[in-house]
Amino acid sequence: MNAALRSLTRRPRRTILTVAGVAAAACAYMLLVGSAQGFLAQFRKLSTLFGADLVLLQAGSTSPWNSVLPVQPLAKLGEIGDIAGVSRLALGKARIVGAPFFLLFGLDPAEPLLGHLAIVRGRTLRPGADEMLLGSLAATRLGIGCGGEIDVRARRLRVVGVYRTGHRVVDAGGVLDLATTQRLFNLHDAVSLVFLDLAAPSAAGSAAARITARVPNVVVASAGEWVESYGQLVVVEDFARFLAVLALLIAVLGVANVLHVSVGERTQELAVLRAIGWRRQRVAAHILTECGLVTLLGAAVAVPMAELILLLIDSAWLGSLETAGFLPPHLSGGVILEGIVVACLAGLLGAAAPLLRAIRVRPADALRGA
Amino acid sequence: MNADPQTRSKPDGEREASALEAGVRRGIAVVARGLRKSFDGGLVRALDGVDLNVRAGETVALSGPTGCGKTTLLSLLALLDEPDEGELELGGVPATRLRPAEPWRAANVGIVFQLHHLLPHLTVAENVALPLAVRTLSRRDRRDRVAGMLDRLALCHRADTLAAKLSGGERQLAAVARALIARPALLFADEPTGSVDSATGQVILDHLLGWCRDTGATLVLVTHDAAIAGAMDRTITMRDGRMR
Repeated sequence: MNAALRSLTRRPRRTILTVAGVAAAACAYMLLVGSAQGFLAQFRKLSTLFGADLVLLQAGSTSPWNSVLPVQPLAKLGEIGDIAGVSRLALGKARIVGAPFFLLFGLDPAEPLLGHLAIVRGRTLRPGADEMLLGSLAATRLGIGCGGEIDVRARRLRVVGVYRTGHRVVDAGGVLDLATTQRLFNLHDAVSLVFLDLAAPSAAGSAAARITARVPNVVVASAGEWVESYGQLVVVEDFARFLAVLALLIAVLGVANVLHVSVGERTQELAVLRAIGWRRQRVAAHILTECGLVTLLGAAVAVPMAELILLLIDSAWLGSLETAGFLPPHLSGGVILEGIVVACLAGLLGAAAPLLRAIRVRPADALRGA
Repeated sequence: MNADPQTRSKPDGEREASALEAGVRRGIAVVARGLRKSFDGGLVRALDGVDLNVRAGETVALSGPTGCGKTTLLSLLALLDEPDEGELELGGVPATRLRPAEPWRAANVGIVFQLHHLLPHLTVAENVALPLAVRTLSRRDRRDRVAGMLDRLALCHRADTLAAKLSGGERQLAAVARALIARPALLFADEPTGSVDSATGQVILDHLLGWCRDTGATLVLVTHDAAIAGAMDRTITMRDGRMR
């Protein structure tokens, strides 16, 4: 261990470059896997965000944003007992100044759902007014607070409050009055989703069956599961899997390449050690200890690197508001651990081939190559 | 064969040392018969049937024009390479019984390369101590032995200097110290004075010959220099991969 530490500290330029190479690859892994997992988690978290017992969505829709529930059939909900509250949600997306893909949530101030939003500044919406509640992340990133104005589809809306849900996608958007949203996005009387509060949540199964029988072209899901019914989730999951595989490839190839070069260029040094009597195993242990230390150091450096990048994304230095909405603000412990393990395994893999070659070559051949 | 009276035990790989010692007592250090070695798939014939006998304690110069096979022969004798054909005995023991060669080299052989091959990131003392890393010596014994060797070669003042910062002559002296630190009975030196000025070359030669005189070690030294060859007990001249 001492010899390995000496070798690393006495060749600072090589050590720094090797550590930086490993750190870059490990950082890429942590960011990509962290992002993929965060993206998926944000999507799933939508399920429980609004706290209702049942959710109605259009049968066959691929995402909440293209679910259209006409108002007429929904009138039949009144014939079904056990429903304590109905909240309609109309979803829209628009380009605004500072956000090319700004998400808008249309809620009726008279319905329970709006009450679930924690207003941290200002007041709630007034029915029918051209007003907007701005998510806390959007407010920070856009630099707009209460009293500010935002143009959505050529209509000027006044920000009257700021809310925080803890869900970064929702907090990166804004909430409008339902009727305003329907007008802005030409939804007429249709909504995207309907959330139902039941008088007896334990009766959710029978209530769902009654709704399905009376309201056509509707899927009824429990609040914890409705996101799972969307086809878009499959795409999100595939994308997350793709990112994880890509991250693994980048990490393995990156770390392996760095250590391959680092060990490969020391063939002559290893030959000298063998010439003076070091056994192959001893030489291998010496080099692997060095590689292990470099890899651990690189992985350790990767953690603050990745955190810094996430911080920059979060604080508008990198990436858009929408990107910030879908990325996690911090790496999870699991992703950090995974990144370190992947970097270490990749380091061993990368060092193994040149090391095996170096200790197999006859010392005379290696020294002759000088 | 090992000239080290302080070696407490013979670790793995030094088992043949006792046989070697016996061979040395009988006066045999190196016996080579019909050694052949080619490179580049046989296109370059470096050694073409070399026979060689070196008595224990003898100092032998290998000389000859560039490319005649001197360094290749030295590599085979130090078990840094394997011959294509021929037999080699070291201290009366067939070389085939001395594989893996590293432990045997650690116990019995000191090598001085033409290029010093010091590790530049280590100090002189650390470089010199490298062969002892595989010996069962206490840290204190190791430190004392390194200090003694550096004192012998008048390198004490450079003990803590990085090898990369030494002059050419100091590097080669440090390489000699590294070769002698394990108190080898067989010394191989490949043009050890080739890259230093004549005064330093003489110092290096004096140290090598002094070591052999003091310990009874055997020295096989490659040189182009007639004066250095003349200081040896015997000179063997090579040409085109053969003894002349």
